[in-house]
Amino acid sequence: MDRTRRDQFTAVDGQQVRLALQQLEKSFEVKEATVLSSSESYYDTFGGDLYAAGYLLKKNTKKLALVGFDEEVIAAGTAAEGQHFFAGDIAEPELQQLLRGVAGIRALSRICSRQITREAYELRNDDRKIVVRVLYCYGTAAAGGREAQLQPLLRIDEVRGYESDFAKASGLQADAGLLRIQGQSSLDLALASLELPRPCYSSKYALALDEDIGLRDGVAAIGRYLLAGMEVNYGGVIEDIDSEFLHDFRIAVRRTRSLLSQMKNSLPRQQLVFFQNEFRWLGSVTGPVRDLDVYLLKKEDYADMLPQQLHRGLDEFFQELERQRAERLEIMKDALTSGRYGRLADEWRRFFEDDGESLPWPGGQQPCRPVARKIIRRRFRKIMKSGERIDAHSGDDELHSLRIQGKKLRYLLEFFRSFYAVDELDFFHGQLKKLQNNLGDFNDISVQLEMLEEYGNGLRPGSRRSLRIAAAVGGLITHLSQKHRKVRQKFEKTFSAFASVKNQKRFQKTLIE
Amino acid sequence: MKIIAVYCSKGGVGKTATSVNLAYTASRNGLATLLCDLDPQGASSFYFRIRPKKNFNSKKLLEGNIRQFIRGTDFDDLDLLPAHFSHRNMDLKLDRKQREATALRQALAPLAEEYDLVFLDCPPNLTLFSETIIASADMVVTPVIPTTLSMLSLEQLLKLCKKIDVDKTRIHAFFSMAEKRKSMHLDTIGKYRKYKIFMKAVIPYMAEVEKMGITRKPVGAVRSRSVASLAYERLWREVEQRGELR
Repeated sequence: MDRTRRDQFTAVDGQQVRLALQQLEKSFEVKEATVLSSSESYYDTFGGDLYAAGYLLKKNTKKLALVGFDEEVIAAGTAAEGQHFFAGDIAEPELQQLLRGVAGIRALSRICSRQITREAYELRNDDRKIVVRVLYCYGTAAAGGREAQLQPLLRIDEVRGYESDFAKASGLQADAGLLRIQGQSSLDLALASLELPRPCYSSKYALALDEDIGLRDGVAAIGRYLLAGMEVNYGGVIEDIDSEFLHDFRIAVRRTRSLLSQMKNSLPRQQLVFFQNEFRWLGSVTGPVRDLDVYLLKKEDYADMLPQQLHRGLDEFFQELERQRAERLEIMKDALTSGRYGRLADEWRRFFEDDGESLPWPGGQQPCRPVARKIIRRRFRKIMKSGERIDAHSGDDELHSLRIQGKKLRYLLEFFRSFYAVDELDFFHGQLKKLQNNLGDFNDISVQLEMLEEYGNGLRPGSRRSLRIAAAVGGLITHLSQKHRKVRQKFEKTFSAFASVKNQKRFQKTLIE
Repeated sequence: MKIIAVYCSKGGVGKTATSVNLAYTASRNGLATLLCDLDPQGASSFYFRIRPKKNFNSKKLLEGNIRQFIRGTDFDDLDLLPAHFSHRNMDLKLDRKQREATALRQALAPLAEEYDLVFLDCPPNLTLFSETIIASADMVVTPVIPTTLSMLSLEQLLKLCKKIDVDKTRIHAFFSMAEKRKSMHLDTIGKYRKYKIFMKAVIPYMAEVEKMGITRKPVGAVRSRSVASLAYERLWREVEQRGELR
């Protein structure tokens, strides 16, 4: 049905709203229709994906409603108790699909809650026909132990075909001194009253260095940015909210390790060794849980690879993986809450805070740009050489090594993006991504096959359960081996496309000249 | 968007009560519904307390210039295109193009994205405009009082269908304003209800329906579990099923 207009106003306090409602009585018969009090919580992903897509997810006891910023319900369902849940936990297909589309595998967590009273009024004309609807909302908002009064809100809704009555009612509110607000959702208003920001996070690297920044300052800025990336995800990793906290935490660690190794000639030797060791340790203590997460996230894909008869064995296999993950998680949490981790974070922060007097960097004052460009140049040439050496007879390890080199180059280009012509760099990135996707797929399958084979070999014969798991694992190995071959066969073609004469010329111009 | 005409050439058979209560029930069941009050007497509009906008008239209706004249009722998902006094001369307003059988369907076509269902509360006559209504509708729901005269109206309707080449399976009749204490009503219902054209639901004569003139609301909006409300709910289920509205 046709969209009707809506105006929203805020007031200083309830008394101002009452006075504004009295103003309406001069032109309309004002009838109080309903008064409803309820409490509701808002849920979103860590990055605020639902909000960014124009949705609000509200939970009232066990009822879930996905609404637009205009509060119109788009889909509804039920949810389990608790601070967090996943789109996949929702039974209602429409809501599940919508949430999956936006939130993906990220958990939906409580942002804040509201205790709200809604007084609905009907404004009627001389025929006693409702010509305008008014909603007055007030109450409190709460989040993370904080509580605040919500600013009173008055909503005026047009009834189709009664445009002039709407304009009159809305005008009277403005005359009464109420403040018209636009484009703010109920979540914005609740968070504003709590003086809290909206969830907003992206795993995408987004730091741009000044073109003339010094080497020391440049590296320090990147290091601090990556540390912030680790810290922002740390809570979610410890709480084990969803798999992506750990994933992003590890990406920040990997980028840091890459920064250290690429800049090794410019950093003070003693600190370099310490940090390289410690970040390697951080990578290794977080690795096993992530590896298991990768398999657990593939559960549906694996099920699709196997016939129904093998699904029971697959389920049992996954139960085993979940048990292993629970064990590994405790070990990882111990490491991340240990003094060693605390010391690393402190030392890393202090390293960048130092003004250079107590920790002199050889050549730290020289401009960052030429050093960075030189390293990138070298890395690029190395990739081209390694790639060209690979042929149909080359071993898997050569492809893996090329992938790692590509990753290092990608990180460098992210760190020092502002030192290049952006359009040309994006073109190069696009080409590199195609190559990396092929190598990534190849590596993914290699790792999966290795793990499955190892797991299969470790199964103790004798029980029916082991037999069922072995059959499922065998089925997966067969399927993945075929895929592995196909991806491998694609490599030569992918690399040739990446390293075409035309591309090479363009890359040279972008990265070398 | 499906168009359901509530039509009978005879007056006082309960067309408006049927239109108002079926449209209300459809909207309660989640269908975005528009009720067009085509009867110049404007009883549907009166029940919903809606007056037409000043510049509305039958010419604009026939031209399909409708959207801006639709008004919201007091109920969600239910809008109304109010009647206008000029509708009494509708036949004279039909120009050559609008004399085409499906002119009304074409006039309503732009509303297809907004509404699932359009009910036409039709005037009680047998004119050129009646032909347009019947040819434009996906379903014609016709109330029949179990009396000889009403049965005659049904026969006339079937004859009209034949004349304008409309498939008579489009016609769905039901017994309206039936009174148990009248043997003639009982006999007529008993004799004709076996025919496929008749739906099973019977709307009895009820004071509650008459009181709509005072309450100016659909019966379901006064009391959702009343006898009258449940009777229209049953009728709606059959209309919904026969018209494959879901």
